[in-house]
This record gives sequence, C-alpha cells and structure tokens, in this order.
Amino acid sequence: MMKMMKRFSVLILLALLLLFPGRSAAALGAPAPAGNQTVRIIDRANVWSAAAESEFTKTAAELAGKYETDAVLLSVYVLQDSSLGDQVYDSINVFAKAFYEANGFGRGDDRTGMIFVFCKESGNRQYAFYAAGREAESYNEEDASFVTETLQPYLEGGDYDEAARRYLELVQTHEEQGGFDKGQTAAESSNYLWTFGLALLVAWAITSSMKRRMRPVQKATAARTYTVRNSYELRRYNEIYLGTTVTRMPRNQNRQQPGR
Amino acid sequence: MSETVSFKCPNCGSPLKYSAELSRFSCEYCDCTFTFDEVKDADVNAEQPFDWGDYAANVPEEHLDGMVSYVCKSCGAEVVTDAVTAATHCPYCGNVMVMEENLSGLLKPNGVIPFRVDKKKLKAIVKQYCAGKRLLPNNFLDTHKIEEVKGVYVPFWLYNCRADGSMTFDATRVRTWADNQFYYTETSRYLVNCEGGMGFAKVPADGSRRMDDALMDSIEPYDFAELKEYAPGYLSGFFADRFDDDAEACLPRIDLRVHNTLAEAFRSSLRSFATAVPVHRNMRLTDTSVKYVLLPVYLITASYQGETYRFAVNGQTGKMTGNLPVSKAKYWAWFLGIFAVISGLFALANFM
Repeated sequence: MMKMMKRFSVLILLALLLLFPGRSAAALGAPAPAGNQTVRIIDRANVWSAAAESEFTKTAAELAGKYETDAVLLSVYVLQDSSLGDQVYDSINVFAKAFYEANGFGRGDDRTGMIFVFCKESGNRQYAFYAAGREAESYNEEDASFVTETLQPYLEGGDYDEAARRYLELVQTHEEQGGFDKGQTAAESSNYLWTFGLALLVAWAITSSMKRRMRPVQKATAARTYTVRNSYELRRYNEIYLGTTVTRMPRNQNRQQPGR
Repeated sequence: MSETVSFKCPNCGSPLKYSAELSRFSCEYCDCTFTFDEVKDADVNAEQPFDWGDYAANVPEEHLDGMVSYVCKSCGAEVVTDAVTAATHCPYCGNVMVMEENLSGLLKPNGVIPFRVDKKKLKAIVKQYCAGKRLLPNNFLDTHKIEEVKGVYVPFWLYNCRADGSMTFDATRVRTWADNQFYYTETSRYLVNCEGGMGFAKVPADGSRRMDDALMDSIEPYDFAELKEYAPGYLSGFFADRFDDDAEACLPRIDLRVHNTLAEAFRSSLRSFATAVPVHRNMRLTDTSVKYVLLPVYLITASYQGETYRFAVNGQTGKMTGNLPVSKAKYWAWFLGIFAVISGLFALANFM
C-alpha cells in the first residue's frame, strides 16, 4: 500500500512539474516567469513615504497597462537582497539585472521593462539603469545615461519623491516619443560655450593679424641688422639658486565619480 | 642772397638731372648721358675736400628758423624756401637748385646713396604693396588720388658704437612627472646675471623733423655698401633736406635700439630656462662715432575719402611702407566668416 502511495506521489509530482515548468525552474534558481509582478516600486532603503509609494505604484501600473512595459524602481542600502539569496554584489549593474530577472519583472515573452536601482550605501552611493526585452533595443546607451543624469541631482539632494516622479515621467515620455528630447546637458552647454569662445578668439586673432598688415608703420625698437658679426661677448654668467617648489594635481580630478 | 649749385650739360649747357634708372646724369634737351666724373669736370663749382667733422650739436637752432631766398641760375628768379631745404626745383623754369650753404662745411654730408629706383616704377610698387591686403577697400586703388610724389634725399645719422652692460633675470626651470595618482610640477627659481657687450655699425636715425621717424624706420634697411662720397650732382632732379635734429638729439633712439638688441642677446643665453623676467638692466654706449649721410626716399601723399595717407619708398631697395585704410565691411565679413568656419569645424568634431 505504502509502495502504491509513493508511486502515486511521484506521478503527481511529475504531472505538476509538467504543468508548471517555470515555477519548478525558478525553484531551481532560474529566472522567475514574467508578467505577474504588480509591485514595481520596492523601497528597501525606506526613502519614500507610504502615500508617495502608493502614488508611484499606481502610476507604474498604469504605464504597464498602457505600454506593456514594467517600470521598476528599487532603493537599497547595500547591493544585497533576499530574492537573490542574500548574495552581496560588487557591481550595481549586475545587481540590477539579477534583481529584475529573479523577481519576475517584464511584460510579454521577452520580459519588456526596465529598472532603476538606487543604492544608498553610506559613502558609496550608486545608480544603475537596466532595460530588458523591447526596451533593451529602445533605450540606447545615451538614453540610459540621460535617465541616470536626470535623476542623480534629485537623489543626491535627498528629494527621493521627486526622483521617483521624474523617473516615471521619463518612462512615459520615452514610450510616447520613442526617445528623449534631451536638450543640452550642462557638459554639452559648457562644450558649446568653449567652442564659441575659441572660435571667437581664433577669428579675432586672424583678423587682428590682417589689420596689423594694413598698419606696418612703427618705430624700430631693435638694431639686429646692424650688429657687427661675431662681436657679441658674454663676459660673465652666473646662476644663483633661490629654491624649489613642487605642486601636485590629482590625475582623476576631472573624472566623474558616480555616487559622490 | 644764398648761393645754389646746379650741374650743366657739358654738351649743351642745359640743366642736368640724375637718372636713377641709368645711374647716370642725363640731359633732357640733347639726350646725352654722363658719368659723375664727366659732369664734375664740366661743372662750374669745384668739389670741396671731404670733411668728416664732428656733427654732434654743431648747428645753432636760430639758424634753422625763418625763410631763405635763392637766385635761380637758369632764369634769375628769386626762390624762397625754408632754411632746411638743401635741394629743390625752381617753380618758374624747373631748374634744379642745390643750396650749397646747407650742404657744405660742417653741414656737408659724409656720403650719399643715390636713387636706384626709377620714379616710373613707383606705380607698380604701389600696386604690389596693396596686393594681398585683404582688408583694403575694393575701390582704393581705383579712386585714391595721388597728390604728390617726391624723390627726397633725407638726412640720416649713421652711428657706430659698442653697447656694454649687465642684466639680471628672475628665471625658472620646470620639471614635470606623474605617478598613478598625481601629476607633479617642480619649479626651481634662479637669479641669473649676465654681463657682456656687442658692436654695432651704421645704425641709422633720420635727422629731419619733417620726416615721421616711424615711417623712416619702416623702410630700413639700406645697403650701406653702396654709400658714395657726397657730391651735389646726385641731388639733381630730387629734393633734399639738411638735418635739423642733430646727432645728439637722435642718440636716445639709437640707445633704445642698441640696448634692446643686447638684452635680446643676453636672453638668448637663458634658453635652458622656462621663464626669464628681467629685474635689473644697466647698459651704456661706448666708442660712439657718427656720420652724416643723405639717403634716397620717395614720399607719396595720397587722399582717399577725405583722409590723407603718406607712404614712403626706399629709393635704393624699393621697399614701400605706409598705413593703408581698412574697410570695416571687409573686416567684419572676414571676422564672421572665420568664426563661422571654425565653429562649424568644432561642431563637426564634436558631432563625430
């Protein structure tokens, strides 16, 4: 009898495995199935108020319904999560991808969606944006950088609610326009200003030289032409050492440090 | 009444002119040409012995004031000129008049460089001078009016001297290196003292107050190898002035030029330094001697849109100088054009 029951249990288990292959794969560590996640705002670092979180969740749900995409926002203290087996990640980009896949985010077969991760670790603030499925093609590298650059000032200034609101607005804008109308970033504006200034300087230098050619009359201030050949003699030459100063400049002074 | 000197044609007795093109004296009436020696023998005025006098401060100022009258030896008319004119033309008969009293004794030049550039070539020289001047108004060459072209022997002082002195520089040597974290700059400061000297020969300074010093400096250099012993005949057909700024008055200009050149030589000894700022300079001129010469200059006065422009042409080398008008429209067109091109190139580089 016991033997019969054992065989029956194995059959039921096999049947269940056949019926729900995704779940069993997840249980074995494979990515979770897509399309069934409704919580897209995950606040592990406790930065959003309950009211704001509710508002963002609602907006994210509307976006998912309207555009068939998951807009996920995650705040963490460290790059570690129970859904990822409490493994500590070194790279926030790898962490963002793993979190997105392990928690069943994404719409459709290709798991279309994106996630923005904000790590609030003291002294090591980091940001990452990851897009999957259709969005992986839609968001190019520049778009991803634009999202991060837009949100970074809000997050660094502690305005987490506005950062979340802007994130969801950016997702909606991108869906509607197929990209971002970036305008000019501060760096680009600075570049244009330099270019403008340099072009002005070059134009001024060239035209001034042309103008000088029109006014060649000037008093002579030297008499090089009239020196007697080989008559120059340097009778005395001495150097008195006064001192040395050493200055140093960091090599990476101008390099952008993420999270600082 | 003052006396004048003019050369007569040994053939027909008409006034002779010196031709820069032929480097000979020519007669406009019988078309004969003569060398200086041939004319000298025929001239009524005998040459005076060459006098290398000391020219520094030897002319009293009052001598230069007022006007002087001369009698033209050709037509007998009385010609009134200023005191510094040494050669001119009779306004009545065109005869060449050389005012001997302004070119004899202590006022006699030690030498002269005859005109080599012919007056007929001036038009081409002006055209060449204006060529390539992109800011010149388009109609300048067509509409400017040449009011006067004068071949003038300008009085110059030629100084031989030696400059000696010392200079002190605050100089730095810079060394840079880098490691994984930093760029390092090491700046070592030195006080550098140089002492030495240099010789100069035939440094010119014009001794005429009528001439713009900058204009005369700008047509340098002259080839002093062609300097000839002075003879009044060279002045035939040209204007000439005698000096009214003596050698001592012109010395500060020479002082500045010579000292600056010695300072440049000292600075060239400090090539191993990144920077060298002069903090002390002590120089003096020694072994100074001076000669008085007449150098050939064409002066051109032109008017354009109500403005007067003065040009000078070196009568020996043909080098021309003079400030030209600038077209504002052309200036801004070039400025904006260059700005647009450079901006476009930078934008393209950024885009790529």
